[in-house]
Amino acid sequence: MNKILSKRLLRDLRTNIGRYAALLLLIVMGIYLVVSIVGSAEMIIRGTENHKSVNMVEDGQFTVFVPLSDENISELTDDGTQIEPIRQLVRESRSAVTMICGMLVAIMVVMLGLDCYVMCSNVRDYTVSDTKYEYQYLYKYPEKTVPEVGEAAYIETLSTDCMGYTLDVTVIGIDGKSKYFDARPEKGKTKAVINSSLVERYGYKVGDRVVFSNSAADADYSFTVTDISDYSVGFTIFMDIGSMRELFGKDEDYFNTVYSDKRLDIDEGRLYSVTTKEDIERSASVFVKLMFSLVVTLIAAGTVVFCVVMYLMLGVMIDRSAMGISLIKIFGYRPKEIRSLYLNGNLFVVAVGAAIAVPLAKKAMDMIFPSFIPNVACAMKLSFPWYLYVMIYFAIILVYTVINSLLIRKIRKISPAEILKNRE
Amino acid sequence: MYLQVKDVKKSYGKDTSYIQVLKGVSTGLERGQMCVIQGTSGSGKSTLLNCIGGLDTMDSGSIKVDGTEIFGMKPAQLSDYRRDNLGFIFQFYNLVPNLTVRENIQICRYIAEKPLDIDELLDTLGLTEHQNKFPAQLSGVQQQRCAIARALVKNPKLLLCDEPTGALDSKTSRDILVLLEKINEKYGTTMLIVTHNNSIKNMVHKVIIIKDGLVKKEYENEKRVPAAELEDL
Ligand SMILES: Nc1ncnc2c1ncn2[C@@H]1O[C@H](COP(=O)(O)OP(=O)(O)O)[C@@H](O)[C@H]1O
Ligand SMILES: [Mg+2]
Repeated sequence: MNKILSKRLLRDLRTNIGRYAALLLLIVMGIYLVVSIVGSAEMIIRGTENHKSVNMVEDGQFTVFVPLSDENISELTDDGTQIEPIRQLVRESRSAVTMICGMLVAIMVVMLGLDCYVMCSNVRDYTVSDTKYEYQYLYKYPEKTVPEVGEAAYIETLSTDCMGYTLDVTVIGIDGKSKYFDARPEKGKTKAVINSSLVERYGYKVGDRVVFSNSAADADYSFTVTDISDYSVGFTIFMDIGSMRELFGKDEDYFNTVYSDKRLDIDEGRLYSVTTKEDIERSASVFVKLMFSLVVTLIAAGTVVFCVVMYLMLGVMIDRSAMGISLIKIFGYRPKEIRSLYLNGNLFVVAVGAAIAVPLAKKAMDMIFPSFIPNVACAMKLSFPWYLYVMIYFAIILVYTVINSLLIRKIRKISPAEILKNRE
Repeated sequence: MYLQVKDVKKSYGKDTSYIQVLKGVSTGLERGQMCVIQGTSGSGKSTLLNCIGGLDTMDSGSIKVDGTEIFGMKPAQLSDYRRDNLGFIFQFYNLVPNLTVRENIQICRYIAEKPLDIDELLDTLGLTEHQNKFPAQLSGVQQQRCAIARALVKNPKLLLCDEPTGALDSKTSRDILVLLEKINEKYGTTMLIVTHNNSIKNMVHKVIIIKDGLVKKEYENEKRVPAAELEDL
């Protein structure tokens, strides 16, 4: 099994080289963005330093003064001090936007990982839950009579094109009261019920005309969508079995597949294959296993990029405010108080930024994601459970808090005499 | 003695760039005294003031403020020492540009134990009508008044001024000095004023003249000239 898996991985790598290249590009782009943000921040610092020395002003555009924390305030009021709030300065919007952009890229990489995971696990879960039968018998030499407990169906395979890849579309002909499929196709050679995977990938609607081809026979078949089925396994369309026999020129009671919830006693020589529900479960799980390391890598990379962006941006804010920090150090402000004065306002920016960036990154990734897997015919169920959003949001706030507390070292390093040196 | 400075030495740099700025300064100041430190540029006035203010560390010697030795204090202790005792006024006002006058003063008020009433102070300094302006909207003297208000709002025991009138013309310099005098009388604040102006020494209780990192001369004025009557500012 392991051998097969690794072989498969290699093959997967070879055939999907383009996809991996695209992924690599995205990561490189992310890193580039981080580097350029930092680079431009450096430039801004240098620029403002020149400006400062020329005009003898402190550039305070980046700084935010906020009232002391509740703790500090209660400490002061307990001593009978009367407190007047200092207006919180609105930060230059450009800086906030830069920070949110950096966050966005990092979150997008994380979202890519999560989308990947959610898709794979959804494919597995839905495949399992949508497979209502226990056995599927595919005939090589169909019989005349349907086995007693089985349900006859007629299966053909057509194909569709997805960004240059040819993907299989299974056409299942069933009668109106199937036990194993919830689709209820109407009679008619050009009428079909399509499944949700097709809708998710191509955005088809009821009433649309869809065309699939049979490459072997070099024929195109077009159908009008009459309904959409929740059946999510692969790309599947359902037809009325009678109409389907007509369409493909088969006898009146032709069938080539039997579904059943019990093992049937059929001559093996007649059969092409037997698929059990267990087989389906196993193959669906392989998907998750294959993707798992990629998912972990993406989430880790995104998280690292995020932390780096955050640390550098907040660090830049402190660097830019070095003069102001030096000044209030002269007055006897302690590093923690300085941090709360200069950085606590950022919590607001981060909180609001995350509230915007998380759904935005998710939306963007959901749009891009199908193009990463154009060669897999599968459902594209990417929606997250609500608690995942909450978790991401709080993880961001947590990272911010940790990085904020790390920056106290940077504040400690600023000497109170800095501002005096620069003036002389 | 409220302030006791004993044999303070301070040098900067190493090897070729080594310079000994303070070569053993000893002096002292009584509580409530106004004092001028005078000397030519580069004589070490600011360095001495920064050592007293805990902004710079001395190499050896002793500085006691109200009985507390500050030599050897760690940065955090120095910070608390400044917080509890000192007010600073600089030549370049060093106001926070994106805070209004009132807010600039409030920054210092937050960490004070027994701060003064901010409105009263604004009134004394003639800043009431400017309290909501930003530093850039003020004239030099108004900015310096704001810096003084900021230094005074916490009612410091010791006020350190490094060339407080250095960037002002003679008329506005006088205004500032009159103000300092008034504050000294009203609150009994001990003041150390660094200047190279030759006239300010006449208004204070004590004069210390520094040359080449040593106290060249120090004396107490028998008769003080009120700031309003100073000439050649
Ligand atoms: N941080 C420093 N590093 C090196 N040299 C310094 C530093 N600060 C002051 N100096 C030198 O010490 C001397 C005295 O400076 P300062 O005390 O500022 O003089 P004053 O205030 O009397 O004009 C000057 O020669 C100056 O160049
Ligand atoms: Mg000086």
